[in-house]
Amino acid sequence: MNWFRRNFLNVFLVLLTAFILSGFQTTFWFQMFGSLPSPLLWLDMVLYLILYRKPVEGILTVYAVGLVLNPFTAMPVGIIWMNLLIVFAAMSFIKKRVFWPSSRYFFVASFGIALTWHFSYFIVSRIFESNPTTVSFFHRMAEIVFTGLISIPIYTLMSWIDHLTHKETLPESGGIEA
Amino acid sequence: MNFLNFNLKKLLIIGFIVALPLMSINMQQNPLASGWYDRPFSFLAAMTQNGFFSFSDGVRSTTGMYLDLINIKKDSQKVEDENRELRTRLEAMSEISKENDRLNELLGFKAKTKMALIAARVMSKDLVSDHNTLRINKGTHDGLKAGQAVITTGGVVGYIYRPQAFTSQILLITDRYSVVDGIVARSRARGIVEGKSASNCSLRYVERSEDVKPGDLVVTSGLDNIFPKGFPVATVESVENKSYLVSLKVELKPIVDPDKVEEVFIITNASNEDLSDRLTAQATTPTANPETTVAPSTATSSPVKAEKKE
Repeated sequence: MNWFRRNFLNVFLVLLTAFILSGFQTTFWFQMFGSLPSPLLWLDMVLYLILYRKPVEGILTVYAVGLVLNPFTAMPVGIIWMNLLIVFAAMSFIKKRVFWPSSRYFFVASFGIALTWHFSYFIVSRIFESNPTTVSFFHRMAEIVFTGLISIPIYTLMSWIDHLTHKETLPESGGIEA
Repeated sequence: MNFLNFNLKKLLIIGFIVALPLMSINMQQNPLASGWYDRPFSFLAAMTQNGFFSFSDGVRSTTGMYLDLINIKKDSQKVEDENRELRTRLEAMSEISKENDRLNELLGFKAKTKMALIAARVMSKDLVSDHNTLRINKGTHDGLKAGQAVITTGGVVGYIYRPQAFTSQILLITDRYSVVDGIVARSRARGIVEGKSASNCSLRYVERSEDVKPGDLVVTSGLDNIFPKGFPVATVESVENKSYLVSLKVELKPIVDPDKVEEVFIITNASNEDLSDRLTAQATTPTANPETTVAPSTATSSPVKAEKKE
């Protein structure tokens, strides 16, 4: 399998996984647990792309994931991209300073990305939306905890996809430079 | 240091990455419309959610059967077995009976009203907790269009947003992007019902001189040409009249709890219906459960004809 086919298949599987995780979160979780806060499964996937892809490849794949997420929510695609960009920049900044490729790092970082996502959206909403979002502290905290707790299976799944498509992941911090 | 010595390629890539979301926000003019780039993703999303909806049903029934089997195996004595089975059946019957009552209520409502309605089941909720939308199992194939009103027998749920072929998203009245033209049933004070959080709305642009009290019922005005006139939306939770504000600060509690909605009606034609004379200001008891709410079409209370207070 050549480089192009390998990467194309990888991106295809990543986007397919984004559909499945979003569908699971919005439909299966809702049908089973009702209004209980759900883990942001797709955000763990975004974290994997931030940590184990080169910066430009990573952000473009994350934008593609943003397009996949758009039909599942009323949030406009521009706001989704803006948040993903902020999350990407914040996690890349941390990654450049502290990083070791392991599931334990991923587990800790997943709490960080969930916190960053909520904080980022809160700010973006205040800037771009006429009727900004509310604090909803406990609901957000529950989502952050659930997102962290579910991160290891997502890490395993994403590693398996990379292994299946022979994708070369970054063995150590890639930093901001491409 | 030479400031002109920069990497143009890198600069262009960074510029593109930063400009993409900003351009997208800037270009979005109509929130109900979806772009061409969104359609294949929307279609796949609808397919995925349909699949998970069917899967959830299967898992539910299988889990139920499995739990029943475990219970039966655990009971060693025959009498206890029979007793447990009967109890399980009774519970199941009770659940079926409740569902039957609910569906009967829906059917009764549909038969009595002059509105053209389409019934649908709720499949899923929004991906992020900052927005309040639901997806239903009916779409453009069933005659749904963007902007059509979604109700239960109890009150307003929201309106259709981004319909797909076989599924549609509902923008709930509690969503921050949602606006519904409302009127206080008792005093006829007019305002805009705007979503706020998962369980609250606010009535905005109500003049400070208007008479609004906690417990008042807010109904649809019918001016938006989406909802029939006089359909219950929410009850007033609190009213603040601050001297530095132009209008009253009115907090609302929706009549219908979005978390408990299982079946909804989509109004395809409401031109023949005016519910305003069937509601009273006394029918304002906030209820969290839409199943227990009295349908406006069957309410027996006297009509409200209060004049707008100057």
